[in-house]
Amino acid sequence: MSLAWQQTDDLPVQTAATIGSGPHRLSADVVVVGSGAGGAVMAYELAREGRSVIVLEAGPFVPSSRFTERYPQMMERLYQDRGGQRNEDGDLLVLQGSCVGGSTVVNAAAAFRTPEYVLRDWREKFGLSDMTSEALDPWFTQVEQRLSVHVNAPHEINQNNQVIMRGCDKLGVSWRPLARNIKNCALTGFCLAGCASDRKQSMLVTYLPWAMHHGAQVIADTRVERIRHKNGKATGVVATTIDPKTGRKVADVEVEAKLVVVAAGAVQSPLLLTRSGLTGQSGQVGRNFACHPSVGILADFDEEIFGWRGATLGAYCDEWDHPDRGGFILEFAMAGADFMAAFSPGIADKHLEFMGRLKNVAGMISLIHDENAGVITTNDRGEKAIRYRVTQKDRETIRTVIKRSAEIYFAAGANKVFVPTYAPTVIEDVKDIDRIVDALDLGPGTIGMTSYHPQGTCRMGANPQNSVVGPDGQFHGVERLYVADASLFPTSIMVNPQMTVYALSSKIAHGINEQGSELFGN
Amino acid sequence: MSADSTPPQPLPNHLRATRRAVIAGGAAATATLSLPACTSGSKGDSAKLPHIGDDLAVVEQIVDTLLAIDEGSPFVPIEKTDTMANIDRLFATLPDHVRSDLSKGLTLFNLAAIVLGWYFRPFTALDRADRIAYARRWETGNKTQQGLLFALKQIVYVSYWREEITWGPIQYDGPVTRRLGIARQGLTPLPETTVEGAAK
Repeated sequence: MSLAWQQTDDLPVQTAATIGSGPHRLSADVVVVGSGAGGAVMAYELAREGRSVIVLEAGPFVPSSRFTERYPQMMERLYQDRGGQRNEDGDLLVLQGSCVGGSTVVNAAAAFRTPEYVLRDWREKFGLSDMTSEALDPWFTQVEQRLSVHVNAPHEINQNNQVIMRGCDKLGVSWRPLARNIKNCALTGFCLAGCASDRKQSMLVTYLPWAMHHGAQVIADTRVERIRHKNGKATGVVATTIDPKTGRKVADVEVEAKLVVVAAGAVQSPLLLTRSGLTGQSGQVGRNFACHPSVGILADFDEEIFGWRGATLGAYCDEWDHPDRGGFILEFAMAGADFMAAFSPGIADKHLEFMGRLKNVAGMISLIHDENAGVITTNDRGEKAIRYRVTQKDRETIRTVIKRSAEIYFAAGANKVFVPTYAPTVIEDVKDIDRIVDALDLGPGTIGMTSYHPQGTCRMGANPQNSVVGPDGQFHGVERLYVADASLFPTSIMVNPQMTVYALSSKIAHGINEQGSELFGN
Repeated sequence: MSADSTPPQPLPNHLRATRRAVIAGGAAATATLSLPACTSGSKGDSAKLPHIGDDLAVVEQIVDTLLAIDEGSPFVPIEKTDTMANIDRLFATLPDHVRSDLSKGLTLFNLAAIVLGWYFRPFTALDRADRIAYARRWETGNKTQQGLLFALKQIVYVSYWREEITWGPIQYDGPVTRRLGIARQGLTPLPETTVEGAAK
């Protein structure tokens, strides 16, 4: 069936520019907070069953016609805190989308199912007995079909990947082509800045328009201040629409709803719940933050690579993808010069030498199965605080990541390997890897890390004493309040999380739809 | 640390003070990635750089030191770019307390040159070779020094390399979709099927 709109520009999304001064008192069967992976899927699955749905998104509505492929500009427009969201120590950059479509607009489209060993932990430690690969298979299969998930064909694996795969092959280290949710990839290499030609099957071009086709309303620039609840039941939300250009309030928005779904992401969701006085029986709201702290390892080669050309992600190394073998994966990726300049090693002549040879530089990032060691809270100024430090165990995993990455690079023929420590660390010979890397401090404030995958702050579990929401996604102790984003994850999942969020949100939505008249009275 | 053990606590007050300038620099650094486009402003024009304000002299010298582009170099001279204006616009976006902490960090960086390395002069009074040597001491110094220099590098480098004019010498292609005429695919049609077991 065709949609009434052709392009993202055509979508009837309300914004600060169109909503009017209000106050606006709205009502719906369901109000969804957040329009990313969890919120968009929830909105569609409920709307197509005939429920009236309102989606409130704090970020702006940016049609893909305005994606400029300039990283600095797009980080300002599409990312949380203009791309500057950091932990309290300042050594971890936490990248999240903040726009209609959320992080799905700015991710690199990697599509993994949840690893079985992770699901086993969820079953055994958190009582999530139905979280098996078999039970989740229909949910994954459905979303994979809808989002054109496919394993990269050879033409989707660029020269940056080819060089690193060569190193893996020489060492006998396993690698695989990645699966991605992309249709007819144009190989432009700007996934992280938003796909200007709509090839990436983000929520902006899929589930959100589909939800709107079934009547869902999407309101951007609108931050939910608190969730209303009475006698143990959620009754709606109170929100503020803010002009993104001036930062000034445009309107108060209240939504009365029979069901509230929180899907604002693993940083914002616990803050909203806490602001609303919903701290749960377990005291776990905002705790157990994990984020796959990633280090980017670069290497210089004689050959020209032009790593920014082609698909952003082509292949990955799965040799150490189980906790018994290390608990990390390596994804082979580079970005444009206006992004990579921020990660340049050295100053003055060393910096210019690096940038002058950027076309000869290969890049890979690590994702580690980190411990849930962080907390999302507010500081003494009342501002959001991401209190996260890599644990000793995870620090040693990062040390191993650096060693294995360097070995792969040198096997591929690298001249030197750059480690992203604040004090420049350059490895120029394979024989020096252990000596140099073993001597690195790697403590707080010594190495630059990036998280693309915040998760775990409203963990799901059967026991209200150690979890925030139940196996059905409903907040323990509060009826008609659901959570549907990566904050659900009881433990970190090591792989890119979007597919797990889609599957869990689909499953939770199905459970809500099954209750039908009991919840909605019609 | 196990998954359920005590999470990291806030830094003690005496350590917070020394970290604040570094954190401020970090916040500024990443915000640099998101500067709005600018069309005017050049080196040394303080009237056009109001948000750098009293820090202008030290910021100018930091930019010159960290980039160190010589005459005749294949790289584009700083004064032909809007690097300083980009930094000014970045400073304009910082919350007051972050801007204040960053200014303290810049002052510390400037004045510490008097004793660190026994230059007996502030950073701004050194010649370029000494400024580079001094900056390298911070790059490999204690954690506070490393953190601040790392942040300054990010501020300077993104402010310079975001300028399209700088891309030619490094053969960076820049945006390609419109230049190559790649068609927008538009919205994806509604799904026609549901998978058995995943829907009623």
